[in-house]
Amino acid sequence: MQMTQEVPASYRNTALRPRGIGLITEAAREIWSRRRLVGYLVRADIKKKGADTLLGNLWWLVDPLLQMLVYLILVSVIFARPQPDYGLFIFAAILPWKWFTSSVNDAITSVTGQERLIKQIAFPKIILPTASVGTGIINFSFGLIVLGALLVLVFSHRISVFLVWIPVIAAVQLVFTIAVAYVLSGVNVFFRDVGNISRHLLRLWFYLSPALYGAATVEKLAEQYPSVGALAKLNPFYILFTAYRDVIYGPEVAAAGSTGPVPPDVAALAALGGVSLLLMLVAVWFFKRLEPAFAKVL
Amino acid sequence: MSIETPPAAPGPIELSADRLSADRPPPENPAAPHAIDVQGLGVRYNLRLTRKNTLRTTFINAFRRKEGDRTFWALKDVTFKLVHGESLAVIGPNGAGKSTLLQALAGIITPSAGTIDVRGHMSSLLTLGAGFDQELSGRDNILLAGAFMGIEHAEMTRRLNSIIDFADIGEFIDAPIKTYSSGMRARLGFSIATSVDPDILLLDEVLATGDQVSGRRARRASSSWPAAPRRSSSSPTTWAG
Repeated sequence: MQMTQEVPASYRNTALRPRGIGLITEAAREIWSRRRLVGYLVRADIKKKGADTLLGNLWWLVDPLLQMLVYLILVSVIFARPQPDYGLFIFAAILPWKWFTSSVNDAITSVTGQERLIKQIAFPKIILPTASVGTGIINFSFGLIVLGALLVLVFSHRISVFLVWIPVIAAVQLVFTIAVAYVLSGVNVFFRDVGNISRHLLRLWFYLSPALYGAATVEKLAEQYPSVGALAKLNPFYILFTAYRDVIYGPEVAAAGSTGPVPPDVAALAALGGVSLLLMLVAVWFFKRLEPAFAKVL
Repeated sequence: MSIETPPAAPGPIELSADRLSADRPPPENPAAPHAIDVQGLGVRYNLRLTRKNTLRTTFINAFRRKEGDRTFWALKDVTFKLVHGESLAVIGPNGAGKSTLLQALAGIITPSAGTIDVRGHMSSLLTLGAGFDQELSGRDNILLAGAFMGIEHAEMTRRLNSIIDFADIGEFIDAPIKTYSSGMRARLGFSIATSVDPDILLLDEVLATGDQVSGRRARRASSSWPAAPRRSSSSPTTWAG
């Protein structure tokens, strides 16, 4: 059909299915044209998460604080870490990690959870994990409010101009999160095991990333075992956590008396950003390839 | 006018081209644009994926490379054409493929063989109230359903009051759906689905669902469609499975 561009939206021909790169542009069009649906789903999710609790959406602020307290007690009391301002030290990593895990966990069940709808209405399924990522962004924004309050009230000596890097680091993380969310939400339709195993893998990933410890610890490990160290530095969350911590807290120092915030490793961030962008395109293509089978398999 | 295919034996339905076209009166205007044009439609289910497999059996199947029971054709070589204003009823026993045909026409599942060409806004009433979010209010669910069906927000807010009136739910419209009775839920679903002013309407055994009240309402509403087209250009082509 040569008049493809003039065909109204209500005209549908199954012979005109795009392939390859066409799938990616189609996905972009779908998300853009249904952006209001994404907004609804995000709002519905937030409404639901606040419902039936005494504090409601205040939990979005309290939750990261409580998590920080748990790790603060665990690490400073049991392991007696000497790191100054350890609360801020781990909060700089817990906050982006919470964003990542909540987005990914929501995304995994986003498609399988709408089983009935998928069998009833034709709509672009890529909207569902996209909405999960959207909810994650709101979650992270609430966390940033807590971070701001912590910095102003408790750690005011750590406030620096380098905080303006946070949106840049967050953008890189967002692209990486989208890639993981699309792939896992699609695979979970066929193998529900994804949901079971991801919780444990995410936990392991957290402990293997420099969240509770710092980049200096990885550095020390790299001196002993160069190959393990090199592998540890390829971890996207090594780059992300280090970047967040550099601009919020400052680099980890072995001796007492830390230097304060510094600019992040821009080269590493740019490399991760590029790779993540590529991964995201592959993930979109992968999801779109699986999509036609969803209604049959669910 | 409605066309009834003879009840087929249980198993995959095979609507051949001549079986359908033989019963159908020739279109009054052959040049009229078709509403639905289905050519050699086939829908294959991959049993290897639809069966809930564990990783172990998946690996075993992958190694054995067993053919045979791995795929199942729910529809094979279905060909027909409908112009605007025509109605078609598909009748068959359970598992004949009626719902699969409707799902394929609605664009929910993609054909494994053949093509479907659809011209006109389509509304599917396959099952009422699918995708209602139990925690959200009726009002929020109306807007959410509209967004899922791809209806413009301004259009949906314009219809909001008539949908609420027709559903006859009263002040419960702002209560979460989980507090609704099944009858209220069915009425709301029907009210949403019938508000969309379609050129082509797909129905799948919905009129038997819901309580007496909603059933009567449903029948009244659906009988008025072919008689009084809401669009001047074309009346809805009604489907019932």
